[in-house]
Amino acid sequence: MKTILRLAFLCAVLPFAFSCTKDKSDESGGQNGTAAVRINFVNMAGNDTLKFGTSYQTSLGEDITLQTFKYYISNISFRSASANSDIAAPETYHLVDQSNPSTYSFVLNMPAGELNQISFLLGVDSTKNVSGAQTGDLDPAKEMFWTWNSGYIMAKIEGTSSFSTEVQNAVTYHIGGFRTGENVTRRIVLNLTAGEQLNLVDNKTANIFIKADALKWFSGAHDLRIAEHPTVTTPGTLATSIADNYANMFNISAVNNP
Amino acid sequence: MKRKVIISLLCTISLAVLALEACRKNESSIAPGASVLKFDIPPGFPDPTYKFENNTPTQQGFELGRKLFYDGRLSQDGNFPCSSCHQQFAAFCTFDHPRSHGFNNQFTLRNAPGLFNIAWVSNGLHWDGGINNLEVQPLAPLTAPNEMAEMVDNVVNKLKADPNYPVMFKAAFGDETINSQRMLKAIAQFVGMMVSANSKYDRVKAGRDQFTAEEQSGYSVFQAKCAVCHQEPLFTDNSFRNTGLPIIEGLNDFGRMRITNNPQDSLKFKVPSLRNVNITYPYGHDGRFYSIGAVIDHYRFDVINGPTTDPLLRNGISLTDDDRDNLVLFLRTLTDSSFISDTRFAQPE
Repeated sequence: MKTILRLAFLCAVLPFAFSCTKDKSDESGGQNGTAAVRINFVNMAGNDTLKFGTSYQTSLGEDITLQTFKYYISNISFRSASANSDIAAPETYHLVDQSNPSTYSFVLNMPAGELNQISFLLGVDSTKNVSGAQTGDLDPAKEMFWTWNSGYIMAKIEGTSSFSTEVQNAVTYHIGGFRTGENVTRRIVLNLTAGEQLNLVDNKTANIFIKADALKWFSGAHDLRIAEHPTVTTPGTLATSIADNYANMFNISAVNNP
Repeated sequence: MKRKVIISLLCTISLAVLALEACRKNESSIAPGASVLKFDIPPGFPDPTYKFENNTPTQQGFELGRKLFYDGRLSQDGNFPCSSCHQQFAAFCTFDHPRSHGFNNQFTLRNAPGLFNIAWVSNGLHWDGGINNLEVQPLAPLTAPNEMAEMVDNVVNKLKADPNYPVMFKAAFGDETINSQRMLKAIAQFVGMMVSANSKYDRVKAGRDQFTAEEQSGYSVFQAKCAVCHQEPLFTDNSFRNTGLPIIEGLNDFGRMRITNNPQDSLKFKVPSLRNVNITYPYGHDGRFYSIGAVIDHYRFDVINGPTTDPLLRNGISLTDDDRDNLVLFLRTLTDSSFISDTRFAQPE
């Protein structure tokens, strides 16, 4: 009987979790009888907060100065500490764009409870890549869509490095590809250890801060020298190698419960 | 236990329904007063591959798409609307041009194909299949530096500045919001509705007309030698094949391989439909052939055997001169003159 009640409860609650909230229109989160969590991305270059126009050094000793840093976050879910099961967040396709601070964070309405894990897809799932014209953060006007080989650029770095052999020392990484063998989306799983768990309370908004280190793109799973690869703008092995690297760029820096 | 199963089943179903319902709100919806257009599937045609259920054509959406199709403001300098390369009198290909003209005196890489029965294209659009959904196709020419050379944002802003467009977007989609999604869906409605299925061939098939003896003989040749790739009734099987054409230096176009990075796809291009072939010359992905006869003679005499040349073409296609001439006469019966004179698809007043 208890199980049935629990299932019935899930029936009542889950649809809300799956409903398609419009990105960024959910600022009232946590005020309508639900709990909410604001996901904050903090872009980094190593230990420093990322700034455009500042020269940083990769772990391979190459300099890099960024002028573009963008990536998609989608398919977010949390793990309930008590039920030890995943709770999908409302459907979200969010573009974090270093040039626009309003994109650094967004709010998700969630049922109240303790959460000990956040996971999300870095990139846009294959379904959305083949589903025709999209809007919001998936609008091709965001310059994150390949028009000649339809599909989203999942993450993008543009900048300069004295090691680049390209005209004006350009570094251009447009990382895309969603088909088998070329898939550059990566499932990111970040655990919240005891004492740092998210505790969502009705009518309140909790905050989670996630650092994203741009310098991680160049090493980790694969050492990728700018001198050898200043430009990656097509799907393929180089792109998936960079994806293997950027899969490690996130870590949780803080959790603020209400 | 049974109850548990039933409850979770119900739960899953209600979830799915609710999730779908919720997502639908994000799609560009139909305006309340808009009149829905019926998409007729011609006799013998399969179901279309384009999912009209996600973009229900309406008279208002279609008219908006038509205006956009003929509007030069979709290009950087105003000179290159979609219709500059897709001319109705030529079944919406670029007549008499191997490759089309684009922004700043540049040529396109490939021959602009005719536009008809696009709703049935599968396996990707374009000669290399790089476009995975009809709705996003216009983004390719729109942003290509040698075609329309524009940016999506700029186009949307130009449309917003026009007094007529907000009214038309509202009539089609319910409010005056202008964004790329609505623009693209409207164009998809217009282009998706372009159906060509009223040629002499179709009338013969329906028992309302008769082939001449030569056409009939050409049809037999076609069925024996061409129909595997140019499958009826669409006259393409939507596959990619290397037809044994030499590379043109300077173009260096390797076709499908650009999309898949797979060497086995080198020099493969999408099999084009042969409908309206007589009015869509020149032929081939780069428009190198100036007559249907020249294409047929390529298959008879000039197929180059490379690693990816299609197995069906390795020995060429053996045809007599009479076969060729009759084949050409048959292919002329695929011209749909009602389609090219259909005022629904013509430039709006």
